[in-house]
Amino acid sequence: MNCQDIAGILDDGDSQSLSAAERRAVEAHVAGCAECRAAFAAHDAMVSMVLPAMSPDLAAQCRRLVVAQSVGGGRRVGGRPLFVVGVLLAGAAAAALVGLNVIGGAGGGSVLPELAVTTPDSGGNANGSSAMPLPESDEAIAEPAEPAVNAPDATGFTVGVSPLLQNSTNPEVIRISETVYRAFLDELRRIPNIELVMLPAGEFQATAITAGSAILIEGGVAASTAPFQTPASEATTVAGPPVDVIEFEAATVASIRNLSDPVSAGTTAEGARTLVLVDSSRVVSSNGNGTVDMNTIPTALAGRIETITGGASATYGSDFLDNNIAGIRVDRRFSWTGDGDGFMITPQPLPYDVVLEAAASSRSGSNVWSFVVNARSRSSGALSTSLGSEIGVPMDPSAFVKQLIETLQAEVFPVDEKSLAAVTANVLDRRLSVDEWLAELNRLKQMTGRAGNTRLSDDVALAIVDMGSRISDPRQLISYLQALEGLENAVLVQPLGQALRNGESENIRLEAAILLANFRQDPMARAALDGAANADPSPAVRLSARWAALDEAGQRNLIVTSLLDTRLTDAERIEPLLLDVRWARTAPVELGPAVDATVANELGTLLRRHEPAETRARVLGRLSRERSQNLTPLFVERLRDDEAEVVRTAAASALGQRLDEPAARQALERAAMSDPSPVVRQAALRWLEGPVAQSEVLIRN
Amino acid sequence: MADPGPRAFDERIAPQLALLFRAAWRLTGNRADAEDLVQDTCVLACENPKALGEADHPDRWLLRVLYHRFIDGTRRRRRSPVVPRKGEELPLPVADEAGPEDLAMQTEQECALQEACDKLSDTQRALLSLRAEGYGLDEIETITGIGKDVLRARLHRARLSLARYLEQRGNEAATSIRIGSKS
Repeated sequence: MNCQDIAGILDDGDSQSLSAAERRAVEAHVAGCAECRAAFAAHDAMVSMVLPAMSPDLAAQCRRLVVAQSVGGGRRVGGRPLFVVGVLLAGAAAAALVGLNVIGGAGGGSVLPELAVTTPDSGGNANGSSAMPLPESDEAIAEPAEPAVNAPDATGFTVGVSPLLQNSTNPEVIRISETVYRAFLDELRRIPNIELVMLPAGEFQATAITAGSAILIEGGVAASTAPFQTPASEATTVAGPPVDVIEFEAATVASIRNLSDPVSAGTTAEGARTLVLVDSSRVVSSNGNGTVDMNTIPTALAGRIETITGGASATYGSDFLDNNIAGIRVDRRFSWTGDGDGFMITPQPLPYDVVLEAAASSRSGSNVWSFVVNARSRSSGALSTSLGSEIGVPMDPSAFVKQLIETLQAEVFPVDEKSLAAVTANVLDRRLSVDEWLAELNRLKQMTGRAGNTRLSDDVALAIVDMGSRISDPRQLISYLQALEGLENAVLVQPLGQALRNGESENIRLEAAILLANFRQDPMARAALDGAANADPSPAVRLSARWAALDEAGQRNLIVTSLLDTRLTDAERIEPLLLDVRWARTAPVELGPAVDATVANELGTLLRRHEPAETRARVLGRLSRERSQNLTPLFVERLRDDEAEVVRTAAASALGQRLDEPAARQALERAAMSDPSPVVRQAALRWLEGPVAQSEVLIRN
Repeated sequence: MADPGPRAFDERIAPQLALLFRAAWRLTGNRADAEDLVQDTCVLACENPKALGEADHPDRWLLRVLYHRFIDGTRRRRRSPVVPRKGEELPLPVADEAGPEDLAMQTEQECALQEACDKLSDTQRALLSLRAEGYGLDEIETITGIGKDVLRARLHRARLSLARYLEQRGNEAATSIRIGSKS
């Protein structure tokens, strides 16, 4: 046997299972050949290297990454990026005073509110139906795997819509989120070239926790479909193999080599000696002794978990005694909020160019819910303003969506003479189907809007009216009417007037009345509105038409006179007050000095007897924008006497905006101490200024 | 949304994870980097579901991905290396009736081996690791894309380098010849 043979065995053979004869031959050669001896030693050393077992979490981690990646792959239609908007909706629950209260997010049937084309606020009273599972399907909603059919040359938007809060046990969360959700989707669906994509239920679930409250995020990005009701067991995943997880009272702390073990350390600093970093940022201790509760880290979204021990860890800081770090490198799409007070989802790996996120949360652990929607684009970060709402305070999704769409359009379709001419030519193209034509019309409207010149030439306007006259489908008709809003040409009054006079459904007539408000100077529009105000069979249309014909002073007058008109029913008297809220597209009318003592008195009387509580809360929400001091007694009375929690909460928030008035402050302090409902007590406390004032109240109590 | 990724992962990758992790450990010598490498490999592999699905030997195909990922090594070089203290991170197999002395000896040996391995070039280390995992010339050729002739020469030089590093460390146990150590 020579050196070549030895190399052959080492290269290709199995040195561990040589025959006896071969082994003797090898030994004989190796004894006299230093080089082969070394080679054999090296080979054997490698073969016999001690290999540790794979961490049991590794498979799950890999799988999560793979899923995230395959979701993030994105899809492109026709070689041109298709706009995809993902809607992420999240709900939040207040944290318990001690420990954390995470809402379970177990997978289950998708609960998606059925979407009707209604005015944005129509969902506001959907209190009773909220717990009901609603059907998922709708024609406009397509599986993401299907190509966007109604997007010829990829100019449409695709909106990903996630199922929402299906297992939340908090009816308040369901109610508010569903309301917003419906209004929001209604709004999105007003735009003809939008395709709604339903994100599958259970595909994404994750838990994130912000300071003071737990947020359940659904339609997020984590892969696991497992429920996250058990934060302690999840924390085991966080800790990774070398880290022991110790459950210590309510918190779960990371301990490396038992230094933080309450038993072996025997001190009060359990877990205090391990620095926990998330994305290179320190996790703030959840209690006084420096312990980081691992439950506060959403493990499902952790991209990588590393433990750094020994000297290298000193580069991260010196305040931990045993030189240990549990470093958690989170996924790219998951990061700290700008304020550093919690985590948030970022949209990068989602196949959407824009992600709309919504979260319900309660401030400072109180049960006063606010709902916030905001949009971020993959390319430019923040896209649009946030949209927020509190119970009792109306929100305006239409403006938000409009702004969002405009921003999107501006990113994709720059306005120049040539493209404007091209779109105009498309609008004049009679071969298009109605949907295609509506899409072109909307593009024209958006482009002219961005170009700052919405005035149409007469022939284009006439062509639009002509084409529009052939639309019969009610939904398309509404889209058409809405597309006309903002385009300037007196000719366009004609189809609106016609719709107001002859529209089959109340919705169409309402829409026409609202849109005609923009043309109220035009005699034809005035005539149509006046006609409808007197003759329309529906009282809602009559009122809207009357409202639309008035300028702001007239509207203010209408509100006040209706309130004072005792011949009307209670509902009729209040309705004009809520009308600008319902329209949700005009800026609310500021009543200002019109709210004199008489009006405030009447309002007080009405609110004392007006049912249901929802309406009372909405009236209070509407009135909370008014500055008149005459209203303060009314709010005080509602806060003190109303039997409905939601009304008292709304009253508290109205009073919270006029804390400079002693009466308001006193009423809030009284409510904070003695209201029977903890929700109202906390809301009142929250409105009282700052922590000092809060503690004062508590001490006085 | 029926993702090809998760399914491919469950069917093709999951059974090979232990193997991948062993190989990754050999290459990187510590758990964190090994896990990183395995995770990267999984992601890369799933980016090419077609090749993954069609590979005759998923283990070799995956090792190829892993090998190239390791050689690219961007992440490894970017990060400052984490040097474990002696013996740390190496859970010792509890041998039958192994006394403390044996354990100490084994630890010492492993440290020596790790240190020596760290001195090898990435390619050398990878080749020796693959070889130690039981792959022959043909398979290593497939995995690394290095021709057999070159492979032979490199393997030989890698072994000699490793032996030299081990010797430099002056550890008798590591350089003792254990031919046919099964017996």
